[in-house]
Amino acid sequence: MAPKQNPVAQYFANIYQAVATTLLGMKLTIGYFFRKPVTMLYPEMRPVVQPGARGLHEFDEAKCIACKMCMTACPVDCLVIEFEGRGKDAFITRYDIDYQKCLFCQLCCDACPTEGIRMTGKWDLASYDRAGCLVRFARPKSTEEIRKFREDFARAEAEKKRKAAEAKAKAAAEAKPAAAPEPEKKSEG
Amino acid sequence: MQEFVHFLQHDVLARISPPLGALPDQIVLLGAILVGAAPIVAFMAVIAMAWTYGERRIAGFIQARYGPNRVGPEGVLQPLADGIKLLAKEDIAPAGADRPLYELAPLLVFVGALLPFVALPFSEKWVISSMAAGVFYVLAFEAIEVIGIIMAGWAPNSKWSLYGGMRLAAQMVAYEIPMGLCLLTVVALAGTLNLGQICQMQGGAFGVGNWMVWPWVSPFATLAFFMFFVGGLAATKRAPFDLPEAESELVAGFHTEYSGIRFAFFFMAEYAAMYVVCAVATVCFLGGWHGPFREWLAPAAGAPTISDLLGKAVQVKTADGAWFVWANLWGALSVLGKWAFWKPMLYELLGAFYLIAKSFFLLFVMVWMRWTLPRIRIDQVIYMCLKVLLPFSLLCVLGAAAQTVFTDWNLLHWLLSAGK
Repeated sequence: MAPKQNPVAQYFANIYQAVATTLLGMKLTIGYFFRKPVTMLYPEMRPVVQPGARGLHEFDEAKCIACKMCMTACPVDCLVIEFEGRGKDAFITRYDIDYQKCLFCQLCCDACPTEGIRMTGKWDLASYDRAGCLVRFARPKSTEEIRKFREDFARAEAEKKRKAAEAKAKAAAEAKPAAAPEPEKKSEG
Repeated sequence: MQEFVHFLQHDVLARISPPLGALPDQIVLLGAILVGAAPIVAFMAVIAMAWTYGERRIAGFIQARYGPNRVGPEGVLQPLADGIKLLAKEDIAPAGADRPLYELAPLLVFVGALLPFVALPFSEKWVISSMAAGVFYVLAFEAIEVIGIIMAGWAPNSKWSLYGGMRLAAQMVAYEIPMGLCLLTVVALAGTLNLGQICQMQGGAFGVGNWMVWPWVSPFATLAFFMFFVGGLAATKRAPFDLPEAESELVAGFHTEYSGIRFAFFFMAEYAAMYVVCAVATVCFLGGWHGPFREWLAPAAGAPTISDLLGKAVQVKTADGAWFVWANLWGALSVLGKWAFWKPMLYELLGAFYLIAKSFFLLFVMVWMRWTLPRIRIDQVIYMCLKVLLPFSLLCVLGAAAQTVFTDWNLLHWLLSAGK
């Protein structure tokens, strides 16, 4: 409480204070009036993010070996991978990230053994519906292409199998003569 | 009224084309009313639109943001978009509303805001009616708004509206007193209630030196000006006196239950009332249409009037020597190329510019104060009116009366000798 005063003096002191504080406030606000607004005009101006920022993903299909490590590491299961084949030659048919679920923890990127997926500074994914939040990173493939890959892959697998069988047979053949070379020669002769 | 109609028939309509001068009185009067009302309503709408936009932009800048800047260049078409939105909205009345009152209230508020424009000068000659009791008339019709707002508070059967309406009744009726007394200060100094004459007295000294507000003209008017402005803030329910529509407590106060075009009426009335208060303050205290360089354009005594110029340009006389524009339209249009025609026009236009610019500055201060000060409590509002503004405005009236008497020797002599 303020010290007790003569009521008349208090009356005039109150008026003085009211006027003085009003003027002080108005001085402050007019200062802001002439200052440049701090608002960023969003679609035209975009903030520059720091280099380490965790934003939208960037996916390199050539590096991906379809090991599903990212999918396993994802704590919210926002990542879906589908592929044909395997290993370095894997044919990725689907690599979707649902940004409605994604929490930008970067665990997928840490898990990736080939650095095929990493995070960028891009951050705005405004869209008019939920479907816009589902980003398909893999190059879209036609059924024709997939069928062709399947056939090629099957052929390559068969070839590989055949070669493996041949190699096995060869190895077996090479191992046998050491054990019993005689009857072989005999049969030939 | 009869004289006015005859003036229109003989000196205006007959000057355009003789058959027009023969129109019946009733039609002439109706036309005059419409032609007189149209520019006021248009001006009022433009003021309201400009200041809804202006207020939001100024509020934006004060809060270090931009405000509306998307619709049109820098957002200037925003009020138009808002207007279309309000027109397209459904007109809802709450259940249990008193329908006739509910529908009458916005119109009454609108009319209350519209009528003061009749006596309000825009420039020296640009005034709808230069009435002898102009100050009194403006104050009286500002007060009509109170009735409309109490109706708007009562009719929708809503507690928020009723609180808002009652608060406004308390506040507005209370603040009418110091506002009236502050204007009385000027009236005492000027010796007339005519707004035009009050303004006329403040000319001279390069158009800026003789304004009522300057302390060397009258220190009492200086004080009265600031008190009138504070009273005007309260009477137009602007922050920090916006209790009737305190959005944090009463939703929107008396216009909570109104939507669409009815809400737009309240909104337009609020901004029009703000302009009226600022324009009255400008006319009575800030020299109205007086400003620098205007005196250079002043028409010399005996300069030809527009009527004279037209008569000379038309050069066609009927049998009784009268001229009319329709007889020689091209000749009449040649007046537009004459400096003698444009000089008085420019003189009035510059006056209107000064008056509106000063009023807009006061409006800017109103908006500036709104975004500076927090809302005060209803008891503080009434305390401020009755215990601070009222005694000081009484002091101003007495001071101005004393100044008038003691600086005018003839008046003093007349007063002293009146008893004998």
